[in-house]
Parts: sequence; structure tokens; C-alpha cells
Amino acid sequence: MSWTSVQLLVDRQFKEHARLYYISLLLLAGLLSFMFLLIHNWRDSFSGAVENGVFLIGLFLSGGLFTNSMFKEFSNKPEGIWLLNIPAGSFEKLLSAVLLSAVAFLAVYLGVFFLIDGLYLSFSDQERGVFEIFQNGFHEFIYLYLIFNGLILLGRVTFIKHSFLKTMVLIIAGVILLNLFNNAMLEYMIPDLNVTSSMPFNSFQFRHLGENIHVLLPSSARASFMPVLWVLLPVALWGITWLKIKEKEI
Amino acid sequence: MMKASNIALSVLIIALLTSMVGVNTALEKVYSEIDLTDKLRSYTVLEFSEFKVLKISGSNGYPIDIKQSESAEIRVLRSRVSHFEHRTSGDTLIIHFSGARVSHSALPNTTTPAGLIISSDNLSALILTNTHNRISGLDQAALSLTLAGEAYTELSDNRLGMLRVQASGGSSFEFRNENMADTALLTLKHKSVGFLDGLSYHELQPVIEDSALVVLSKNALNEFVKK
Repeated sequence: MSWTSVQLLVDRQFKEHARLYYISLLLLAGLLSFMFLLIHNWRDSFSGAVENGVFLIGLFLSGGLFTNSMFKEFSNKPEGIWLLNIPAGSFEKLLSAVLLSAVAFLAVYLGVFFLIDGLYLSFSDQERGVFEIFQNGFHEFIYLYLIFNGLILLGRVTFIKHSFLKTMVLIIAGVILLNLFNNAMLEYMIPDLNVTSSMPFNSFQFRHLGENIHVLLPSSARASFMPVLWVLLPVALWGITWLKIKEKEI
Repeated sequence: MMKASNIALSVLIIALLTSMVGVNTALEKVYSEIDLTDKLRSYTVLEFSEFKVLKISGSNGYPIDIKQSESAEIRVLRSRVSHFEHRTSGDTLIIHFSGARVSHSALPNTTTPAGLIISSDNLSALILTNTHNRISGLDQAALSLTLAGEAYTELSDNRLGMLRVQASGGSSFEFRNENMADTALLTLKHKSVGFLDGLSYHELQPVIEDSALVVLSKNALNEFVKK
């Protein structure tokens, strides 16, 4: 692998789409400002940390669209052939896409979000302080974003047309199926259990005498299992994307 | 022949489903340890060192119940276990109970179950910051209550010899039902608010500074003027 090739690929991607990226940056700032205005207008209707919701909507919406702009040449045959013929390996092409859509995007997104949140706080009479990403394990959504990034990249190189829509449909269907399967598995393993909700690989809630009772993975098991999942899953998805690029035939 | 990427994808899916079985087996073990006949089955009992002073900070999304009991115990709502942190410093138990913030106006009469239930037979002081607290059934010679930040505290059915309340910041406290204190020393600063209707006392010494407020009904005011 050559870092020079990766750097050149990142430069190419950025230079070719620089104008679009600057406009998207303004659009992102506008979208976040608009959502903060919305929650400010209806602040008496929302309780809890609504800024967390703004953060997640902004992250997954803009991150998904931006990630989907990687390898967009594959949706057009001549451009796809040109991209495949660029003198760089498949791994370098994938790495440049991951660096842009995961690392650089997260850095820019966090910067823009904290800027807009800071401006919102300075112009409104909010009781809360600056947005705390490490409170209550909220930063785990960043790991979830990396998995999402892997899925969108995989969808991008798998589907030629309408890749984003197809990938989103598959992600939503996959999450629903995974949940149903997980609930069914729990109800099979524990007789007479009425699962009301569950989070695969983490916890479930069941109903007993009209009361919802939460069952959470022990903290020691969670501490050892979750980091493996957070790291291995995106890496595995990026790996499969790399294989897909290697196998690409147009 | 199957492509390498599809084989890798299949292996990943199988690995995920296998680990799901492993996680659910661990969850099944946690489930089997829950006593479903216990009224407080939604709570798990936590281990801690003995304390006389409780210092709690965090958020107000879930109320914290503090009550008297013959033996000390801390129970946390199972769904909030990961939001609970504690450590001991001398005879002080320091707790951080994090979570969502709720508007102050939504706190009274909330239907949200208690996130923490703390029972103690030897509590001399409470230092509460930003949390929603419900102190009830204390029957003891003295209690010192320090409220800071946006702490909101409801006191009900307590019988105390000496009650000392120091409220600051945007904190507030409210006496509900019937509370009795021989001597009540109330110091309110900044924008704190105290609702004194449910408090009976022999001697009341209020100190009110800055923009703090004390709210009294007609009867409570008459009683205060009479004394």
C-alpha cells in the first residue's frame, strides 16, 4: 500500500467535488440551525436531551449522503471504468473513501455541530451547558456511525443505480428482522417470556404483571464484548467492500 | 462459484448470529436471577460502603427516593444501572446519576418511576445538585439539606428535630403532606425557591438573599406571623 496514492486519491476526490462539499457544508450548518430553531420553538413540548436527537439526525442523514457520494463513478459505466483504471490498488481506493467519509467527515461534523450548538446556547436562555458527547455513553453512536458508514460504502459498490435508497431499505429491513429474530430467540430460550422490546447484543425488556422490567447485559460482559463489536463490525464491512471493489467488473 | 465477498458476507452474518446466541445466553442468566415475586423487581440492589452523608449530582430525568429504613440499601432501576456511578470519601457516599434533563415544570407529580431508591437509618446530611429528589419518612434528630444547581426536592412526612436547608442556584424545595421540625433553619440564595406549606415547626429562622423566594399559603403565613 502506498500512502502517496491514498493522499492523491483523497486530493482528487476533494478537488473534483470541492464546490459541492462547500455547499453541503453550508447546507449542513443550515439544517442543524433549522432543527435547533424547531426545538427552540417547541421547547415546552419536548423534554429530555433533544439536542441529542438533532445530533443523531444530522450525523446519520448527512453522513449517509456524504458516504454515498464515494465511488459514485460506479453508477456510470465509463466513469466506473475510469475509476477502476486509476493506478492505485483497491485497498488504497477504499482507504481514501473511509478516510474521507468516516474520519474527515466526523471531524467536520463535530466541528459544525459544536459551533451551531454553541451559537444556539449563546442566543437562547437554555438551562443546559455545552453538548456533552461522552455523557451517558452517547459517544457509542459514533461507533454505530462507523458501522453505518461500512454498510453505505458496501451498498455503494454493490448496487449500480439508486444505491442509497436500496441500501437504506435493506438496512431498515435488516434491523427489523434482526430485532424480530432476537425477540423470537429470547422467547424460545426463556419460556413464558413476553418481550416488549430488545436491543440485540445489549438488553431486552419484558412485561410482568403490567410492569416493564429491563434486563441488561452485565457491565463486565458488556465492557469486553461491545468494543469487539464496535471495532470488528465496521472493519469487516470495509473489508467486504474492498473485496467487492477487487471483484468489480463493468 | 461464490465470490469471495459473498463468502465473507455470509461468514460475517453467521458470526453475528452466533454472538447473538452468546449474548442472549448471558441475558438469560441475568433474567433467571430476578425474583419476580419481589415488589421491587424492576430494581437491582447495589453494593456500597456505609455512609452518613449523601452527595448526589446528575440529572433530573428520574426521581431519587430517599427514605428511612432499619438497614441501609441502594436500589437502582435496572434500565438505569449504566447511568449510576458511586464512590466513597470518608463517611460521604458520592453518587453521580446521569440521564436526560426534564423541564422544571414537568417535575412535580411526575409519573416516571424512581431511578434510585436509597434507604438509610443514619443519614445526617444530603448535598443534592441538579437532581429530582423525594425525601420521605425520615424520623431523626437532625438533617442538613444542601441544594444546588437545578435540584428539585420534595419532602413529605418527615419528623425532624433540627432541619437545616441551604438552597442556592436555581434549586427549589417543597414540603408536602405533613412535615414536622422543631427548628427549621432555611437559607435561600440566588434564584432558589422554597414552598413551605407542608411544614410545621416550633421555630423558623429564614434567611433569604438575592432573588430567592419563599412561597407561603395564607394559613402558613398566619402561623409564621403568630409565632
